[in-house]
Amino acid sequence: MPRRLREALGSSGGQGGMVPAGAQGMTPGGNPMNLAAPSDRDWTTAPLTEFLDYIVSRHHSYTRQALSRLAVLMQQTPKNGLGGDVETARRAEALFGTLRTRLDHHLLAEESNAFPMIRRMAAAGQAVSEAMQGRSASYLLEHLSGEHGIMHKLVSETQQLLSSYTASQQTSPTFNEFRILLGALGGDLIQHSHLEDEVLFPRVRALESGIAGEAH
Amino acid sequence: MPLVDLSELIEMAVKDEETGIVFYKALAEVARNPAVKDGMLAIAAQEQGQLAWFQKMLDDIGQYQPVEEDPGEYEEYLWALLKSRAFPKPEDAAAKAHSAETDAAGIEMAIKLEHDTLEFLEDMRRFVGPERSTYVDVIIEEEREHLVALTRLKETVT
Repeated sequence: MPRRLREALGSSGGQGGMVPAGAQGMTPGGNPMNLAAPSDRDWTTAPLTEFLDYIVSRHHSYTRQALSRLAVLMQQTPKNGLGGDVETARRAEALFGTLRTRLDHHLLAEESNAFPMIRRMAAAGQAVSEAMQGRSASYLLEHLSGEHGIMHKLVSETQQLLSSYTASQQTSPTFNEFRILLGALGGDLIQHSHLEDEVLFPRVRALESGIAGEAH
Repeated sequence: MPLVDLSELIEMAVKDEETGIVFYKALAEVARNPAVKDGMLAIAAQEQGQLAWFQKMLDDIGQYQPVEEDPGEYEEYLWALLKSRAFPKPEDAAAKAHSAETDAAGIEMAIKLEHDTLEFLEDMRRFVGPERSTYVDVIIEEEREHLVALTRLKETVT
Protein backbone atom coordinates (compact mmCIF):
# COMPACT_ATOMS: atom_id res chain seq x y z
CA MET A 1 0.00 0.00 0.00
CA PRO A 2 1.41 3.45 -0.87
CA ARG A 3 2.98 5.28 2.08
CA ARG A 4 0.80 8.38 1.60
CA LEU A 5 -2.34 6.27 1.72
CA ARG A 6 -1.19 4.57 4.93
CA GLU A 7 -0.57 7.99 6.41
CA ALA A 8 -3.98 9.28 5.36
CA LEU A 9 -5.74 6.30 6.84
CA GLY A 10 -3.68 6.46 10.00
CA SER A 11 -4.77 10.03 10.57
CA SER A 12 -8.42 9.32 9.79
CA GLY A 13 -9.08 7.62 13.09
CA GLY A 14 -9.53 4.20 11.50
CA GLN A 15 -8.66 1.12 13.52
CA GLY A 16 -5.10 0.00 12.99
CA GLY A 17 -4.66 2.66 10.33
CA MET A 18 -7.29 0.99 8.20
CA VAL A 19 -11.05 1.32 7.83
CA PRO A 20 -13.22 2.38 10.77
CA ALA A 21 -15.39 -0.22 12.48
CA GLY A 22 -18.33 -1.24 10.38
CA ALA A 23 -16.55 -0.91 7.05
CA GLN A 24 -14.85 -4.24 7.53
CA GLY A 25 -17.75 -6.22 6.15
CA MET A 26 -20.46 -6.35 8.76
CA THR A 27 -22.78 -3.81 10.33
CA PRO A 28 -24.22 -4.18 13.83
CA GLY A 29 -27.49 -5.32 12.29
CA GLY A 30 -25.63 -8.23 10.73
CA ASN A 31 -25.92 -7.05 7.17
CA PRO A 32 -22.89 -8.02 5.16
CA MET A 33 -21.53 -5.17 3.08
CA ASN A 34 -19.19 -7.38 1.06
CA LEU A 35 -16.20 -5.13 1.47
CA ALA A 36 -13.14 -7.15 0.57
CA ALA A 37 -9.89 -6.61 2.44
CA PRO A 38 -7.75 -3.78 1.01
CA SER A 39 -5.33 -4.92 -1.62
CA ASP A 40 -1.58 -5.01 -0.96
CA ARG A 41 -1.00 -4.14 -4.60
CA ASP A 42 1.30 -1.21 -5.29
CA TRP A 43 -1.08 1.02 -7.22
CA THR A 44 1.67 3.43 -8.16
CA THR A 45 2.94 0.87 -10.67
CA ALA A 46 0.08 -1.59 -11.31
CA PRO A 47 -1.56 -1.42 -14.76
CA LEU A 48 -4.12 1.38 -14.88
CA THR A 49 -6.90 -0.89 -16.12
CA GLU A 50 -6.39 -3.18 -13.12
CA PHE A 51 -6.40 -0.14 -10.85
CA LEU A 52 -9.70 1.09 -12.30
CA ASP A 53 -11.24 -2.37 -11.96
CA TYR A 54 -10.16 -2.41 -8.31
CA ILE A 55 -11.72 0.99 -7.56
CA VAL A 56 -15.02 0.01 -9.17
CA SER A 57 -15.24 -3.49 -7.69
CA ARG A 58 -14.13 -2.51 -4.20
CA HIS A 59 -15.03 1.12 -3.53
CA HIS A 60 -17.87 1.84 -5.95
CA SER A 61 -19.59 -1.41 -5.15
CA TYR A 62 -19.25 -0.88 -1.40
CA THR A 63 -20.48 2.72 -1.64
CA ARG A 64 -23.60 1.67 -3.54
CA GLN A 65 -24.38 -1.11 -1.06
CA ALA A 66 -23.81 1.16 1.90
CA LEU A 67 -26.00 3.93 0.45
CA SER A 68 -28.78 1.50 -0.26
CA ARG A 69 -28.69 0.11 3.29
CA LEU A 70 -28.40 3.60 4.79
CA ALA A 71 -31.52 4.69 2.89
CA VAL A 72 -33.48 1.80 4.40
CA LEU A 73 -32.17 2.58 7.89
CA MET A 74 -33.01 6.26 7.50
CA GLN A 75 -36.58 5.33 6.66
CA GLN A 76 -36.81 2.96 9.63
CA THR A 77 -35.33 5.32 12.22
CA PRO A 78 -38.14 6.82 14.32
CA LYS A 79 -38.67 10.49 13.58
CA ASN A 80 -40.97 11.31 16.46
CA GLY A 81 -42.06 8.04 18.09
CA LEU A 82 -39.41 8.33 20.78
CA GLY A 83 -40.07 11.89 21.75
CA GLY A 84 -37.46 12.98 19.25
CA ASP A 85 -36.65 16.23 17.56
CA VAL A 86 -38.60 15.90 14.30
CA GLU A 87 -36.99 18.92 12.65
CA THR A 88 -33.45 17.56 13.15
CA ALA A 89 -34.51 14.18 11.79
CA ARG A 90 -36.02 15.84 8.70
CA ARG A 91 -32.88 17.86 8.09
CA ALA A 92 -30.72 14.77 8.45
CA GLU A 93 -32.97 12.91 6.01
CA ALA A 94 -32.72 15.72 3.45
CA LEU A 95 -28.95 15.97 3.86
CA PHE A 96 -28.51 12.24 3.49
CA GLY A 97 -30.72 12.36 0.37
CA THR A 98 -28.38 14.96 -1.11
CA LEU A 99 -25.32 12.90 -0.20
CA ARG A 100 -26.84 9.78 -1.75
CA THR A 101 -27.80 11.46 -5.03
CA ARG A 102 -24.46 13.23 -5.33
CA LEU A 103 -22.48 10.09 -4.63
CA ASP A 104 -24.60 8.08 -7.08
CA HIS A 105 -23.96 10.72 -9.71
CA HIS A 106 -20.25 10.88 -8.93
CA LEU A 107 -19.77 7.12 -9.29
CA LEU A 108 -21.73 7.03 -12.53
CA ALA A 109 -19.76 9.98 -13.91
CA GLU A 110 -16.48 8.22 -13.17
CA GLU A 111 -17.66 4.99 -14.73
CA SER A 112 -19.24 6.54 -17.81
CA ASN A 113 -16.80 9.31 -18.74
CA ALA A 114 -13.52 9.54 -16.81
CA PHE A 115 -12.65 5.86 -16.46
CA PRO A 116 -13.38 4.95 -20.10
CA MET A 117 -11.20 7.89 -21.13
CA ILE A 118 -8.39 6.66 -18.87
CA ARG A 119 -8.72 3.16 -20.31
CA ARG A 120 -8.35 4.56 -23.83
CA MET A 121 -5.31 6.54 -22.73
CA ALA A 122 -3.79 3.49 -21.04
CA ALA A 123 -4.06 1.64 -24.32
CA ALA A 124 -2.53 4.54 -26.21
CA GLY A 125 1.01 3.24 -25.78
CA GLN A 126 0.32 1.10 -28.81
CA ALA A 127 -1.90 3.48 -30.74
CA VAL A 128 -1.30 7.04 -29.66
CA SER A 129 -2.94 8.73 -32.61
CA GLU A 130 -6.11 6.66 -32.32
CA ALA A 131 -6.68 7.17 -28.61
CA MET A 132 -5.41 10.72 -28.43
CA GLN A 133 -7.64 12.76 -26.15
CA GLY A 134 -5.34 15.75 -25.84
CA ARG A 135 -5.36 17.14 -22.32
CA SER A 136 -9.09 16.77 -21.86
CA ALA A 137 -8.70 14.26 -19.01
CA SER A 138 -7.22 16.94 -16.74
CA TYR A 139 -10.45 18.90 -16.89
CA LEU A 140 -12.49 15.87 -15.82
CA LEU A 141 -10.08 14.93 -13.04
CA GLU A 142 -10.12 18.42 -11.59
CA HIS A 143 -13.91 18.30 -11.49
CA LEU A 144 -13.96 14.87 -9.83
CA SER A 145 -11.42 15.91 -7.21
CA GLY A 146 -13.58 18.90 -6.36
CA GLU A 147 -16.55 16.58 -5.88
CA HIS A 148 -14.57 14.40 -3.45
CA GLY A 149 -14.30 17.41 -1.14
CA ILE A 150 -18.06 17.99 -1.35
CA MET A 151 -18.79 14.34 -0.42
CA HIS A 152 -16.54 14.48 2.66
CA LYS A 153 -18.27 17.68 3.75
CA LEU A 154 -21.74 16.16 3.32
CA VAL A 155 -20.82 13.06 5.33
CA SER A 156 -19.40 15.24 8.07
CA GLU A 157 -22.47 17.51 8.14
CA THR A 158 -24.80 14.51 8.32
CA GLN A 159 -22.75 13.08 11.19
CA GLN A 160 -22.97 16.39 13.02
CA LEU A 161 -26.75 16.40 12.65
CA LEU A 162 -26.94 12.85 14.01
CA SER A 163 -25.20 14.00 17.15
CA SER A 164 -28.05 16.50 17.59
CA TYR A 165 -30.64 13.74 17.80
CA THR A 166 -32.20 13.48 21.23
CA ALA A 167 -31.04 10.80 23.67
CA SER A 168 -34.28 8.88 23.18
CA GLN A 169 -33.87 8.90 19.38
CA GLN A 170 -30.33 7.61 19.78
CA THR A 171 -31.55 4.49 21.58
CA SER A 172 -33.11 3.26 18.32
CA PRO A 173 -31.19 0.25 16.91
CA THR A 174 -31.68 1.53 13.37
CA PHE A 175 -30.26 4.91 14.37
CA ASN A 176 -27.16 3.25 15.77
CA GLU A 177 -26.67 1.09 12.73
CA PHE A 178 -27.10 4.14 10.50
CA ARG A 179 -24.55 6.13 12.51
CA ILE A 180 -21.97 3.35 12.42
CA LEU A 181 -22.49 2.55 8.77
CA LEU A 182 -22.25 6.24 7.81
CA GLY A 183 -18.95 6.39 9.71
CA ALA A 184 -17.78 3.33 7.82
CA LEU A 185 -18.80 4.86 4.51
CA GLY A 186 -16.97 8.06 5.46
CA GLY A 187 -13.86 5.99 6.20
CA ASP A 188 -14.10 4.18 2.91
CA LEU A 189 -14.60 7.48 1.07
CA ILE A 190 -11.32 8.73 2.55
CA GLN A 191 -9.51 5.67 1.16
CA HIS A 192 -11.38 5.89 -2.12
CA SER A 193 -10.75 9.58 -2.79
CA HIS A 194 -7.15 9.31 -1.59
CA LEU A 195 -6.47 6.51 -4.06
CA GLU A 196 -7.90 8.63 -6.85
CA ASP A 197 -6.59 12.07 -5.93
CA GLU A 198 -3.11 11.03 -4.82
CA VAL A 199 -2.34 7.97 -6.92
CA LEU A 200 -4.65 7.49 -9.91
CA PHE A 201 -5.11 11.06 -11.10
CA PRO A 202 -1.39 12.01 -10.90
CA ARG A 203 -0.60 8.90 -12.93
CA VAL A 204 -3.21 9.88 -15.52
CA ARG A 205 -1.87 13.44 -15.72
CA ALA A 206 1.63 12.09 -16.25
CA LEU A 207 0.36 9.73 -18.92
CA GLU A 208 -1.57 12.54 -20.56
CA SER A 209 1.53 14.72 -20.70
CA GLY A 210 3.49 11.86 -22.22
CA ILE A 211 0.86 11.14 -24.86
CA ALA A 212 0.43 14.80 -25.71
CA GLY A 213 4.20 15.17 -26.04
CA GLU A 214 4.39 12.18 -28.34
CA ALA A 215 1.49 13.30 -30.51
CA HIS A 216 2.53 16.96 -30.94
CA MET B 1 -55.63 17.70 -10.95
CA PRO B 2 -53.37 17.33 -14.00
CA LEU B 3 -50.10 15.52 -13.43
CA VAL B 4 -46.66 16.27 -14.79
CA ASP B 5 -45.26 13.33 -16.76
CA LEU B 6 -41.62 13.53 -15.75
CA SER B 7 -40.59 10.68 -18.00
CA GLU B 8 -41.34 12.82 -21.08
CA LEU B 9 -39.16 15.60 -19.77
CA ILE B 10 -36.31 13.28 -18.82
CA GLU B 11 -36.47 11.50 -22.17
CA MET B 12 -36.11 14.87 -23.81
CA ALA B 13 -33.04 15.50 -21.66
CA VAL B 14 -31.60 12.15 -22.78
CA LYS B 15 -32.07 13.13 -26.43
CA ASP B 16 -30.49 16.53 -25.80
CA GLU B 17 -27.46 14.87 -24.24
CA GLU B 18 -27.12 12.53 -27.23
CA THR B 19 -27.23 15.55 -29.50
CA GLY B 20 -24.82 17.44 -27.24
CA ILE B 21 -22.23 14.67 -27.46
CA VAL B 22 -22.40 14.71 -31.26
CA PHE B 23 -22.19 18.51 -31.28
CA TYR B 24 -19.11 18.74 -29.05
CA LYS B 25 -17.30 15.92 -30.83
CA ALA B 26 -17.98 17.67 -34.15
CA LEU B 27 -16.68 20.95 -32.73
CA ALA B 28 -13.52 19.11 -31.62
CA GLU B 29 -13.09 17.78 -35.17
CA VAL B 30 -13.13 21.24 -36.73
CA ALA B 31 -11.17 23.02 -33.98
CA ARG B 32 -7.86 24.54 -35.10
CA ASN B 33 -6.49 25.34 -31.65
CA PRO B 34 -5.45 22.22 -29.61
CA ALA B 35 -6.80 23.78 -26.40
CA VAL B 36 -10.21 24.22 -28.02
CA LYS B 37 -10.14 20.64 -29.27
CA ASP B 38 -9.25 19.39 -25.75
CA GLY B 39 -11.98 21.49 -24.17
CA MET B 40 -14.63 20.21 -26.56
CA LEU B 41 -13.58 16.59 -26.02
CA ALA B 42 -13.69 17.06 -22.24
CA ILE B 43 -17.19 18.51 -22.40
CA ALA B 44 -18.29 15.71 -24.76
CA ALA B 45 -17.03 13.17 -22.22
CA GLN B 46 -18.92 14.89 -19.43
CA GLU B 47 -22.07 14.99 -21.56
CA GLN B 48 -21.68 11.22 -21.87
CA GLY B 49 -21.81 11.00 -18.07
CA GLN B 50 -24.87 13.24 -18.01
CA LEU B 51 -26.59 10.99 -20.53
CA ALA B 52 -26.00 8.02 -18.22
CA TRP B 53 -27.31 10.06 -15.30
CA PHE B 54 -30.55 11.01 -17.06
CA GLN B 55 -31.06 7.36 -18.01
CA LYS B 56 -30.70 6.44 -14.34
CA MET B 57 -33.01 9.30 -13.41
CA LEU B 58 -35.61 7.87 -15.77
CA ASP B 59 -35.44 4.57 -13.86
CA ASP B 60 -35.41 6.21 -10.44
CA ILE B 61 -38.04 8.91 -10.72
CA GLY B 62 -39.48 8.69 -14.24
CA GLN B 63 -42.69 7.18 -12.90
CA TYR B 64 -43.15 9.93 -10.35
CA GLN B 65 -45.97 12.28 -11.37
CA PRO B 66 -46.10 15.48 -9.35
CA VAL B 67 -49.31 17.48 -9.40
CA GLU B 68 -49.11 20.47 -11.69
CA GLU B 69 -49.26 23.74 -9.76
CA ASP B 70 -50.63 25.68 -12.68
CA PRO B 71 -52.93 23.39 -14.74
CA GLY B 72 -52.03 23.25 -18.42
CA GLU B 73 -48.67 24.91 -17.93
CA TYR B 74 -46.64 21.72 -18.29
CA GLU B 75 -48.31 20.59 -21.50
CA GLU B 76 -47.84 23.99 -23.09
CA TYR B 77 -44.24 24.09 -21.94
CA LEU B 78 -43.50 20.68 -23.41
CA TRP B 79 -45.09 21.70 -26.70
CA ALA B 80 -42.98 24.88 -26.77
CA LEU B 81 -39.84 22.89 -26.04
CA LEU B 82 -40.51 20.47 -28.87
CA LYS B 83 -41.03 23.36 -31.28
CA SER B 84 -37.96 25.31 -30.24
CA ARG B 85 -35.28 22.66 -29.86
CA ALA B 86 -31.88 23.82 -31.07
CA PHE B 87 -31.10 20.56 -32.85
CA PRO B 88 -34.04 18.26 -33.60
CA LYS B 89 -31.64 15.47 -34.66
CA PRO B 90 -27.97 14.66 -33.94
CA GLU B 91 -27.03 15.22 -37.59
CA ASP B 92 -28.36 18.79 -37.30
CA ALA B 93 -25.97 19.33 -34.38
CA ALA B 94 -23.03 17.95 -36.33
CA ALA B 95 -23.86 20.09 -39.37
CA LYS B 96 -24.10 23.21 -37.23
CA ALA B 97 -20.75 22.48 -35.56
CA HIS B 98 -19.07 21.80 -38.89
CA SER B 99 -20.31 25.16 -40.17
CA ALA B 100 -18.20 27.04 -37.61
CA GLU B 101 -15.71 29.06 -39.62
CA THR B 102 -13.49 29.90 -36.66
CA ASP B 103 -12.81 28.45 -33.21
CA ALA B 104 -14.41 31.51 -31.65
CA ALA B 105 -17.56 30.97 -33.70
CA GLY B 106 -17.71 27.32 -32.59
CA ILE B 107 -17.28 28.31 -28.95
CA GLU B 108 -19.99 30.92 -29.32
CA MET B 109 -22.39 28.23 -30.59
CA ALA B 110 -21.48 26.06 -27.62
CA ILE B 111 -22.09 28.91 -25.18
CA LYS B 112 -25.54 29.46 -26.68
CA LEU B 113 -26.32 25.76 -26.33
CA GLU B 114 -25.21 25.76 -22.69
CA HIS B 115 -27.43 28.76 -21.95
CA ASP B 116 -30.42 27.00 -23.50
CA THR B 117 -29.62 23.80 -21.61
CA LEU B 118 -29.38 25.65 -18.31
CA GLU B 119 -32.74 27.28 -18.91
CA PHE B 120 -34.28 23.88 -19.64
CA LEU B 121 -32.71 22.34 -16.52
CA GLU B 122 -33.93 25.15 -14.28
CA ASP B 123 -37.45 24.47 -15.56
CA MET B 124 -36.99 20.74 -15.08
CA ARG B 125 -35.84 21.37 -11.52
CA ARG B 126 -39.09 23.16 -10.81
CA PHE B 127 -41.25 20.36 -12.26
CA VAL B 128 -39.28 17.66 -10.41
CA GLY B 129 -39.99 19.32 -7.08
CA PRO B 130 -37.79 20.13 -4.08
CA GLU B 131 -37.45 16.55 -2.80
CA ARG B 132 -35.85 15.37 -6.03
CA SER B 133 -34.17 18.56 -7.16
CA THR B 134 -30.65 17.28 -6.35
CA TYR B 135 -31.00 14.96 -9.36
CA VAL B 136 -31.05 18.06 -11.56
CA ASP B 137 -28.73 20.19 -9.42
CA VAL B 138 -25.72 17.97 -10.09
CA ILE B 139 -26.19 18.49 -13.83
CA ILE B 140 -26.86 22.21 -13.50
CA GLU B 141 -23.54 22.59 -11.67
CA GLU B 142 -21.70 20.79 -14.46
CA GLU B 143 -23.38 22.87 -17.15
CA ARG B 144 -22.42 26.05 -15.34
CA GLU B 145 -18.82 24.81 -15.25
CA HIS B 146 -19.04 24.23 -19.00
CA LEU B 147 -20.23 27.78 -19.49
CA VAL B 148 -17.34 29.16 -17.44
CA ALA B 149 -14.81 26.94 -19.24
CA LEU B 150 -16.16 27.91 -22.66
CA THR B 151 -16.11 31.60 -21.83
CA ARG B 152 -12.47 31.34 -20.69
CA LEU B 153 -11.63 29.36 -23.80
CA LYS B 154 -13.21 32.01 -25.99
CA GLU B 155 -11.03 34.67 -24.39
CA THR B 156 -7.91 32.71 -25.28
CA VAL B 157 -8.79 32.51 -28.98
CA THR B 158 -10.13 36.03 -29.62
